Amino acid sequence: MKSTPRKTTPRVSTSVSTSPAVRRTAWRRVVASHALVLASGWGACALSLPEARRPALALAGVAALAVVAALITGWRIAGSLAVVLVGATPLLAGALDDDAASTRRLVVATVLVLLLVVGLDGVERRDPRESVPVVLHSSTRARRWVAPVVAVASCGLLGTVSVATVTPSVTFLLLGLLAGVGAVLAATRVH
Amino acid sequence: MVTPDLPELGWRTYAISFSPTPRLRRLALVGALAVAAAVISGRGELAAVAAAPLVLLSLHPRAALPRRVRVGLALSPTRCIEDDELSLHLVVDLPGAERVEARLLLPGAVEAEVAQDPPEEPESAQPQEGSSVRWVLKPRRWGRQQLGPVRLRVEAAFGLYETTFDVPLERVTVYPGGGTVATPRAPRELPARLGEHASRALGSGVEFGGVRPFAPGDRRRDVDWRTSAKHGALFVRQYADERSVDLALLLDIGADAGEPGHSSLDLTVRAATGLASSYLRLHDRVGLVTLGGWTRWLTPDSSVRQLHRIAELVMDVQGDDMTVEAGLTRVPRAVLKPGTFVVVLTPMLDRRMLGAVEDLHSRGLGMLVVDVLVSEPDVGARPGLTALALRLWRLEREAVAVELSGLGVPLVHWDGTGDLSAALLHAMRAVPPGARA
Repeated sequence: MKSTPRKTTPRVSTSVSTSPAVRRTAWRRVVASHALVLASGWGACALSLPEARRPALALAGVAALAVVAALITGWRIAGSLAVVLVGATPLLAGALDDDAASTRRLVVATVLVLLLVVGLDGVERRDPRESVPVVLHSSTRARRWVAPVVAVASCGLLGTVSVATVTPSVTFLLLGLLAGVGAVLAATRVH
Repeated sequence: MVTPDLPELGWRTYAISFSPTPRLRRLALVGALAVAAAVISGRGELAAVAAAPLVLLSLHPRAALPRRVRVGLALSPTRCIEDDELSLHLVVDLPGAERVEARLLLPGAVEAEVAQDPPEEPESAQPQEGSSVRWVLKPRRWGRQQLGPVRLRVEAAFGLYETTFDVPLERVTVYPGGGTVATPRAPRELPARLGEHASRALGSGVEFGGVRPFAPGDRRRDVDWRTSAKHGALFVRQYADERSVDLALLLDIGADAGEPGHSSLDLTVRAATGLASSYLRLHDRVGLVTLGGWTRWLTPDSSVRQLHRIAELVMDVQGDDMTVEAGLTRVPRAVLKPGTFVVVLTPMLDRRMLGAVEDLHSRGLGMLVVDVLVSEPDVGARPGLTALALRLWRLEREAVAVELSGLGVPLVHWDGTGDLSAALLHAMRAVPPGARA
């Protein structure tokens, strides 16, 4: 028996109990996020292995540890640090070796870094004290991934163009000017 | 599961403001890092890594995000009894959102689950659009419960922006459930007022009360032919008069002990509501007095609204100051007038209640004391002084019970599940204190 408080109604806020099926789905999502972060983070680090340059290898090792730390702690700062280190690894490898700066390798690195950034959201959002929220609306997978596909395609295009031998011409100059004006217009209108 | 009727949605528009997520900052960081690497190393191809994040950021401008959201909400009913089901229907109309999550925050005394069946579209003049969810809520404890809010989290633009806002809910009044008396009993002596209980007095009821010799003016249909034939003279049947009971409920709310939901205050309130409901159904007059906190009273009344008044009054006792010194002296005489039967609901933790019982006894009122304490102090497994304190505590309660017995006041223990009919019958048919001399 408790002492004699006047108010015995607990005023702490609790959330709604969720069904086992919903909880299972949420756990699957969390596990998938962890797997995605681990695979993409370590995959991006592994891109520097073929050339085996010591600075790149050292950075890759630190980045791999940062990924594990981000997974374990779930802290945002650890996640951001992991993204920076993982992103810097293929860039350093590319800066040190021509083979590591190939378009294919850079596109793969970009995709892995994007996946790492996406996966970290799922890792950091988990909170064992809170119940699973009800998802009222979620856009379709196809619609969600249109923009990233376009972004990766642009990355590949830029990478291809950057290593291609281009003869300067008036057409190229005009195209460049047109792209610049279009970018400025787009930036001022929508942002 | 009973599906409650879905009420009409109340629509409100909220202004929302999206803020950048860590995803956006990290993409910007990767882009800046790649550009810096390309510039420092003098390798233009490294700038390709910056293209993807920068394109993603430029494809999702902040200006294109929605600035308003329409939220439709329907909570029904807003007044219910403990363990009743409430329906909460939420519709969010936000075109352009990528993901909308809802988290319902509730007080501990309310349980909720998401309705498994897809929500039916209620008939409404308003268009039913957007994403919807329906919760079934079960308030487990009486009182005025502030539900919600519903916390909505919206993601937009490939998760680069998010916003969180609360949708407030209404306050729900949960009346205590009561089923304490299956058959309302009545004392032998009843006030001369029309009711449904057969009294000792003879009158115009339907229950047989006896026979007497025929007298001029008696109705022929009242003649008891069998008795008349046996005695060779005319006899007429007499009937018991049907009268109502004056019942006063005395609530000792000075101490609340036990687990929430089954505490002494919970049982007190449930017993009071159950008794009032049972007796008011038979058009008896029921009044109420609270002691221990602020002294409140309701003059006995048999109207349909009396139960509502009683329920509303007991709602207010939760926030009372238990240190207030008050007794029955302030209670008007009309509330506890002669002939009223008093049911005292008490955890027997406060000796002020004993004083009130003695006061009522001296007024000659019939009484039943209901002990509503179902738990003992938690002293843990420590032997010694705590065990001794527990023994003393038990002895003190026993002493109160002995004092009540000495006054001739019946005492019954009620754990919230049994029927008080038998105890009431015993107490009501006992000789009232005033008739002893």
